[in-house]
Amino acid sequence: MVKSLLRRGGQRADARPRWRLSKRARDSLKAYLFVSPWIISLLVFTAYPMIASFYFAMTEYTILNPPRWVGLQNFKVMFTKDPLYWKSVWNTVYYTLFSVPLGLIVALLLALLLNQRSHGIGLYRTAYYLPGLMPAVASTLLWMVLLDPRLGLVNAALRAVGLPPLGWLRSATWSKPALILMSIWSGSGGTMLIFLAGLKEIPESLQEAAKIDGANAWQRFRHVVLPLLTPTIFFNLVMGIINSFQVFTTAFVAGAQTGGAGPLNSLLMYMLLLYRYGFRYFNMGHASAMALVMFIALVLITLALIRSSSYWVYYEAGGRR
Amino acid sequence: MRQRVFPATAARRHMYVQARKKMFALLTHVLLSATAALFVIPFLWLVITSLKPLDQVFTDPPRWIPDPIMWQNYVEALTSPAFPFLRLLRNTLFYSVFSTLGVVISCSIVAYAFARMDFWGRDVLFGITLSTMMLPGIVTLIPTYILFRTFGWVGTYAPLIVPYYFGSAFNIFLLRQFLMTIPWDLTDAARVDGANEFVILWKILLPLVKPALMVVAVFHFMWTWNDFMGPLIYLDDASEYPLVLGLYAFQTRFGVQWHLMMAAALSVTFPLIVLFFLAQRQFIEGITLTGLKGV
Amino acid sequence: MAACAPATPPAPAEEKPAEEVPAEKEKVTISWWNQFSTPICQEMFPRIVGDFEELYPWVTVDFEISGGPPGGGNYIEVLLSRIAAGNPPDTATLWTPPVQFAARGSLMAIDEMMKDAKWARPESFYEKPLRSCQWRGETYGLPSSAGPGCIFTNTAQFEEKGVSPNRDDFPKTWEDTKELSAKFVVWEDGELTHAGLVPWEASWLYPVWSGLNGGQLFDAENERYVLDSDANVEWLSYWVQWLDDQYGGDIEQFNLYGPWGGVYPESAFQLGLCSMAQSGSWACTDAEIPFAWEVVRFPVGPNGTKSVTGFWPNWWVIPKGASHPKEAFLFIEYLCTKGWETWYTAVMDTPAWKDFSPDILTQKLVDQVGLERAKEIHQFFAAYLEDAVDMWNSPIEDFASDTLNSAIDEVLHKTKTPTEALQEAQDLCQAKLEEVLQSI
Repeated sequence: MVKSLLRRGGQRADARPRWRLSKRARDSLKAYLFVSPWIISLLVFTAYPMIASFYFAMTEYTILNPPRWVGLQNFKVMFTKDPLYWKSVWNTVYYTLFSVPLGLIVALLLALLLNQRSHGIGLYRTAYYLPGLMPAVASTLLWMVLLDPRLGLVNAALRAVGLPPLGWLRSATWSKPALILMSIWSGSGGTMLIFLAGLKEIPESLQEAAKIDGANAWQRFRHVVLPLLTPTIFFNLVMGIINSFQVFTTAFVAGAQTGGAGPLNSLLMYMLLLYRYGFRYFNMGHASAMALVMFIALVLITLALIRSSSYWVYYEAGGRR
Repeated sequence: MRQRVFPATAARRHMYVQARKKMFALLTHVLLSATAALFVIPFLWLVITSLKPLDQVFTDPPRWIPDPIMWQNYVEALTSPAFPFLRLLRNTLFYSVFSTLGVVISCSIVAYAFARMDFWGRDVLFGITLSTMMLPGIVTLIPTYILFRTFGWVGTYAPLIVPYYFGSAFNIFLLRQFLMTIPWDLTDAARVDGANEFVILWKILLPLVKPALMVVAVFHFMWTWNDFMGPLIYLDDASEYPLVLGLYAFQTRFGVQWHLMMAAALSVTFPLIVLFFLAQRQFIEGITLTGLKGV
Repeated sequence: MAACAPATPPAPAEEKPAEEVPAEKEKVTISWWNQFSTPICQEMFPRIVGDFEELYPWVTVDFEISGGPPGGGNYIEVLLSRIAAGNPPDTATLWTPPVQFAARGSLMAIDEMMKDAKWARPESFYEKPLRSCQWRGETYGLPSSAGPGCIFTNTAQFEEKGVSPNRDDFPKTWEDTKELSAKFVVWEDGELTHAGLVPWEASWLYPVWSGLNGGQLFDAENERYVLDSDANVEWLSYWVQWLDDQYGGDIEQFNLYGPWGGVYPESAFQLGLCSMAQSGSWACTDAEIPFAWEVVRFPVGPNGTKSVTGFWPNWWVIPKGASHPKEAFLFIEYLCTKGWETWYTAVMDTPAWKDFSPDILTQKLVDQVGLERAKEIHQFFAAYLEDAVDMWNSPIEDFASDTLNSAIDEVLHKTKTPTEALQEAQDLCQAKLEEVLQSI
């Protein structure tokens, strides 16, 4: 029918009219139709704020007054004149290095355990997801009660098994581990859910076939489940890094009660410092500059991950992409 | 060489295998319970604290049983003038339901294009999509606020609902990953049969990624339920506030009214727990158990 | 007890007829933002605002007591967004020092309106609290409370140790106080179970401790920071010495046995584990201390001459762009003066307004300790407020606080010497100050 629409009168049916689009172009148009809502969103809701904040990064902007161009000044100050900047970078990297892998492993193990149809499995699933349902502020406050060195449950448990109680949020060494613990507690549920969805995608027939071929549980996991789970792992890995770089609420609430940013600024995460510059020191320009740096770092890391994904992520849809 | 199988041995082997299975199941249950306990105990602590009088919240050693059990904390929290529960609940439901609807519809369509169609600029656009998640909300806060103010949407729920009808980076990413796991042969076959893209998406692919759709809906719903930054910025009128904003009423300059705050927090969370428990059953029942046969 | 202070609004005692409403005066609604949320606030503020509306019948105040615009720490973000977008509230109560806003031109100067004001004239306020609202000679807001800081003592524990619990007998110098503190310190099995005075526990009082040693943090006259002065180095060194002598020298271990600060429920002081603690006048009633206590002045350091105090006010401001500045001023004036008398009957937040009626006392305090003693404590705070140091008056106040807190944290952790830490803090603050002053 399309052909007939494009045929000019008098021409042979199989002649190519000049304005017929290539298949790829036609497909592209169709695709753009599908993607159009998102493009609208990007242009309308995202473009201006993003470009605005890139612009702010080059300005001195108190929010209360219009921005004033200063070029790369903010970056210079950030990298060389702010002793807390590198501390916050280190704090955030430390936090990410531990919370992301640990979170993934815990979530994956839970998902594997829960990938059954047995009676009452729903209760377990809800139990693991419970922490993720609480507002971040409430769960942080809850953990501060639990981690109180003198009166908290955690130290009481440690003492009960003969281990020394730890300083947790009151100790420069243990405050980040406390934060990591909190993030695993509240974050695993969501990651586990995604892994569970991914596991459900794996056809039972494949596992059955492997079983028949004599594979044991570990082999089935390693050679059937894991490869088919890689798209999900990739997703959780990327999102995990993006989120942990931006950790804020827990650090803010936990730090506020213990004098700002934890003992010796050990809880001063990158976002916390950024927030301070933006809303406490009336220096939104500097905050935007920090955000830009983090943005670039995340982009580079994600690009590297995407590049690497062609080596280890297996999309069943017609092999690797 | 023929194996000589004695009935007795076979029976014993069978029993042995059965016992192994049972032990494995038991082990799994033990592990599940133990880990569940670890996850639930802090939550349990929350429940217990919400039933305590304020002076028993911090004691040494920690108290497990409140005395007296203050059921009235819930009454006090839920009837506190600063925390009008029913109205907050109504607002939250409105906001969450409508924005979730938007997200599921729009992200399915967009993710389909990223996952199953080849078009010019696809990878660049996908990269841009991911990158929108890498700029923290704090710095885009002011420009976004000014933007919505220009639209005249401040003071309404529009900024919190409308954008989601056009997509959301996180959910697009998620659904794309899942849609990419479906073999091409399926859709190729459908195309040969003359189905157009929408039909392929609606009739074939979406049912296959139901778990992922469920995840998207559940996640988003819960996220909006607990989202406070958005409502905080855009809503002017206290009568429009969602539940989470109400929780701040219990946090004061001189300390937190722990017992009331926990009671309120639990009341805010409880509907989500129920929702989740019901929804996760859909995971199991909505799935084609045999998966994709043969292809 | 016949002359018991009324727990009801003082309106009958001061007959003030409602403002005559000129016929053409249109009704005005002003908005008021705040972060108050506790039950007492929920009870008192609607009353006070109601009184204000009665006094000025053409004004209605649009407000809520819900900790908001809700968010505690997010109040500032929303407020800033509004100011940036040009639709700020008409009035706001700030818990963030207002000089920062004023210096950047986002608050309205109220000197003109104060000249002819009914109650809120410049001379009607305590000097230092009012100065915390002033920048380069202009006033940008009013302080409503100026609860002075002081030391609370557990008199029973004093008597147990044979020490006089009377205010006048409390040590006047750091050295003597330290000696006194040592009497109360108890170590059991290597764990600290009882403390005397923990001088570094209240970070908002750091300017006071600097002042007690004859030093200063911010020199407002010359718009300079003076963090690294010898007096300040001496002050911090003294603290480190105190930590070493009485509390084991390891601040983290010390904090593990804590928390040691404050006088509120669950604090070491209220649990009887600490005999002296720092707080402010409001704590007399607000903290509900269940035993007999006394409030005393801070002791003076080796380089100091006078016992000074600090204050922590609520600041009431009118953002630039407010739609009804005149009514807004009337509102903040009332709330900081006559209206605050009503508040004072419930919470002992020493008013910054000097013309405060001496007969108005906090009912709770009277109930607790009797009329005479309540009056006496009120006098103590009123007199002490005259000896306050300058506070909250820097255009980079929050940055400086954070930097100083970091520095003192390092000093107490012994990762830096007082000289190093203060020098670094000085450089950072001074640089930031100059940067901001240049662009103003």
